[in-house]
Order: sequence, then C-alpha cells, then structure tokens
Amino acid sequence: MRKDHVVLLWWGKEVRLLTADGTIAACTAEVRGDPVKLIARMLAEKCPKAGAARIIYQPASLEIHSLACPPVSRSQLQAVLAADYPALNLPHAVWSVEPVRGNPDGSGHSTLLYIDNRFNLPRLLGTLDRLDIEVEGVWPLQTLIESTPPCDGVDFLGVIAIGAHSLVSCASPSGSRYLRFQDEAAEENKMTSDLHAAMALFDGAAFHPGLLVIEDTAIGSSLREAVRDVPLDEIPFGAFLANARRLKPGGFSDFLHHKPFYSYRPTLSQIAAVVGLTLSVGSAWTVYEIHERANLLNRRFAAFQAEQAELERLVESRRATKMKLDSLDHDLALVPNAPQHQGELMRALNRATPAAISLESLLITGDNFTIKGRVYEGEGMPSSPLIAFCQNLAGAGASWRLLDPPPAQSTGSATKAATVPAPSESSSSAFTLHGVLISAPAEPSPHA
Amino acid sequence: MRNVRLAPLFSGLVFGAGVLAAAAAVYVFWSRPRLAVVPLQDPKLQQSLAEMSAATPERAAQLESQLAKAYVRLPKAAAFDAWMAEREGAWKIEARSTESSPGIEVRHYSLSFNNPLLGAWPDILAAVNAFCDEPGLTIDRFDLALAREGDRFDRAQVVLSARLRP
Repeated sequence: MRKDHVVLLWWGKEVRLLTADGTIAACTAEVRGDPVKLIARMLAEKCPKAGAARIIYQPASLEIHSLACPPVSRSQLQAVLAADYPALNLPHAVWSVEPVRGNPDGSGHSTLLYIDNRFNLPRLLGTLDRLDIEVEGVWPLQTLIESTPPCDGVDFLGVIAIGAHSLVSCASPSGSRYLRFQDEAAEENKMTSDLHAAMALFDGAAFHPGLLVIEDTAIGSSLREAVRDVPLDEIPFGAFLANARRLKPGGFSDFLHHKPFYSYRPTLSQIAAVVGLTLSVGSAWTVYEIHERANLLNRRFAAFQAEQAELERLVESRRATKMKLDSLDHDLALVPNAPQHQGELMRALNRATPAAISLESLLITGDNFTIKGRVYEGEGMPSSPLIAFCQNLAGAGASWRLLDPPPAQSTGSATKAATVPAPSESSSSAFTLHGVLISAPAEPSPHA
Repeated sequence: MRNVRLAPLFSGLVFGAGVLAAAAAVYVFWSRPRLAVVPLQDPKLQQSLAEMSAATPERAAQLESQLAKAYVRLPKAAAFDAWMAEREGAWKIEARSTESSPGIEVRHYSLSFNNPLLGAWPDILAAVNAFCDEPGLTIDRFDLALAREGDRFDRAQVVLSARLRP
C-alpha cells in the first residue's frame, strides 16, 4: 500500500502541512493548546494515508544561539559546546546546529545552535510513530532557508511571514549569521526592527538577491512594504516548504542526527532478539539432532551387541554340539559295522590257487593285503597260470581289488610289475600281488 | 518490522538465552558419543558358524541313536571272554591291552597259532572266519607265511580288536 509523503512546519503555535498532492493545510494551536495533538488530528483528517514525514521544527520554545565554534564534526561540536550549554547533555533535550561556516575574512567559524528541552519533539516523534508515520528528518527553518535558492550562497537575507509569525534570517558578508523569530502578531514593530538589524549587518554592501516568503496577511503586507527596496525573490509558501524534500536526512542540522545502525537501540534490540532467537532455535535443533543421532547409534550398537552375543552364543552352542558329534563319531568309529572280508579272501585263495602256483605268504594289514608265491610254468600251457589265478581271485562280486594285476594278454613266466624271477629255479618264478579290501576295519589296533 | 517494538531487556534476555543455548549446543556437540559407525559383525564368527552349520542337535540325536543301536549289537565282555576261552587252545595270546570309555570297552589281542603244521590250514581258515563273523571284532593284521620247506607255517599271527559292552 503506497504511503503519502508529507512536510510539516511547526511554526510557533501554528502548524502547516504540505500534503503529497501539494495542498497546504494550516492550523493554529490555542493559547494553552498542545501542538502535538493538533498535528495528530490534522494528519488524521487531512492526510490519513501519510506514511513518511519531514518536519521543519521552529517552535517558540526553541532556543537559538549564534556562536563561534571550531570547524569540527557534530559530535565533537556537542562535546565543545556542552560546557557552555549543559542542556546538550540532558536526555530529553533535542538539539541541532547549522553547518559550521568559515568567515570570509578568515577570522574564525560560526554556527547556530538550537536547543529544545521542552520534550515537544520526542512527544511528536512518538505520536507519529504510533500513527505509523516514518519521520525522515527534523530540521530548523534556517536550514530550509539556506538550502533554498537564492539563499544557498555566501551571504543572503531571508524574510518569512506566515500566519501570525515572522522570521528574519541573514548571513552577513562578514560570515556571521542572524536569525530572529517573532511569534506574536502584536510584535509587528519587532519584526521591522529585526529586518533593519539584519540589513544593518550588510553595512552598506550590495544585497545579493534574498528570499521572501509571505502570506497575504496584515503582517505580511506590512513586511512586504518594509522590504520593498530590498532585492528579494518571493517564493510561494508551498514551493518553499516543498524544498524540505531535498534536505538530506541525518545531515549536520538534522535534529534526528542519524547514529550508526548498531547504536540505534530499537534496531539493536531487534537484531539481538532475532540473533538470540535464531541461536536458540538452531541450538535446540542441533541438540535435538545430536540427541537423536546418539540415540540411533546407541540403538544400533545395542542391536549389534545383541546380535554379536547371539552369534557368539550360537557359535558356542554349535561348537559344543560339534564336539559332541566328534565324540559320537569317534565312538561310532570304534564300533565296526562293515562285514569282515579276511575270511572270504582266504577262502577265495583256497579255491582260486591252481596247482601251478604255490602261495608262500599272506599279509593283511588293515585294508591292504599282500600275497607272495611262486608260479610254475611249462611249455604248451595256453596262458599264464598267474593270470588265471588273478582273474579267478578278483572275479566279479569280490570284496577286494588287486592293485597291480598282470595284464590279461601277457604270456610268459612273470608279469611286468608283480613278478620277480626266482634266482634258484629256472622253471618257476616268484610273484607278489598287492590288493585292498573294499571295506576296511574301523580302528587299527595298537599291536598292528 | 519497524513497528515491532522490543524492550531492550527482553531482547537482551533473548540474546543471552540464545548465546547460552549455543554454548550448550557446542558443549553437547563436543561431548557427544564418538561412535561414528556401528562395526560389522565379526567375520570369524560368521565363518565359524558357517563351518559348523551341520553341527545341529538333530544330527547329534541321530548319532546318539545310531551309537545306542551299535552298542546294543556288541557282545558283553563276559560273553566274549567265554568265546575267547574256547579259542585259547588253538591260539596263544601273545599280547593283550584294554581301552575303556563310557559305554564301550575295546580290547586288543595279538594271537599266534599254536599248531604250525601245514595240515592246520583248515583250522586257521575256520578261526579267521569265526573272527570275521563275531560282532564288534575286527582283524587288524593277519600274517601267514609258509616255511621254506613248505611243510609248516613259519608265521601264523593275527591281531584283533574287540569292542565289548562292559
């Protein structure tokens, strides 16, 4: 929603309001009336959409001091002047100074000091704040005059007569400033005296074009007559007041001299509150996150420990079961459950041994057996008796197997692998057969 | 924002509370548990478990049943003694040892045939057949060798193991 920009002139007991559309509203406070309430009512009636205001502050209570000063900053100037004007240090007092001017003859510097310790401006600012109107700046009338052509030069004369009040202001060729404000209509003679006193400061020097802002009142007509011979540019009051929009907020003569943002207490409070709130929320969130993460890790670790313990218990149980199984296997291995074939082998030897073969020894060790003997061969025999012997011994269905039987097609007195020629008899040869029983005893004896 | 009025005391309290909260958060952060990740399960345990997957109570019960049945088939020690006494005339006990364990007694015998004549061959064959037929008895070694003259046995030895019920 767009807000209107207004200019207020607090001028003695009178108030002028320049609205955004250029109209001027005027009100005058009663004798014991409160201008602050008057301004509030005026704004509500004349410009309810006002969102920003610039104030030209020239109440009757405003003390004005023209004085020499060093060319220093505003804060230094406050420190320098505070010795002579203790009100500068009062917490409720408002003050302002015009920009320091150097005298053309180099004799020093001067300024105008304004002090108001009646608490009017703080009340006005508070009222406007409650009305949601931002005050961009508060300046004395002299500042507005000095920023309005042709008074923005070195020396000038300014004459203002609005309503029942008048103001005469000048900057003389010597550099001194002169400012007189009359807030009573009955003081017409004083106004004329002020004008003459100001003109006397020029000491016969030629006047530069000055400023004349006059409303058509009795006082205005009288004053216009008095300055008839003085070269002054008359400016309409509305145009003059509109120049306040060109003043720089926070400048040297602004009653609301802007402090650094960090020294602006409301802003600092807001920043501190926001930072504190952000820190609180962020910290709470961080603590919550850490707590949740720790809880999650604890749960995971507890689950891991439980799984580990369960695994260890299971492994221990399996280990015990395995030991029991091993023991049972061992015990079972002690008990033979396969048939013994030694007797069967000996019966087969009894049956299969031909007359041409003489067995000499039989050794059975576990599942291995060794047969040694001698074979007698003669001419005209169709095949080797040893081969027939082996074939008969290891026939189908036998519970043993010969490891190195002589080949079936071979003929002659001995097999390649198993027979050994006998050194003593040329008609016989020794042989050795190795075999294995297919089912073995379970446990060898320590005597074997 | 301009219209939000905050008392300096309230703002100060909020700010102070925020600073305290931040300090507490920093303290909590630095004193949090340093356990970054949960360790993985011990691979050795997993491997052991996999290796012993067959070691189940069911398997143990099955083996126990088998063992009980096998023990039932074994002769009693007293009966075996009587059976062995019948053969002591033909065989001489050269060595004997006993191993005892719960539920079973294992005896080891080293025997030699008393009659080394070649004509005793049928007796040897019958004895070996009897050894083979006896439950729980195994022939661990049998050594039979003819003398060079061929009329008698040079060696006729047998080593036996007998599993008995005590």
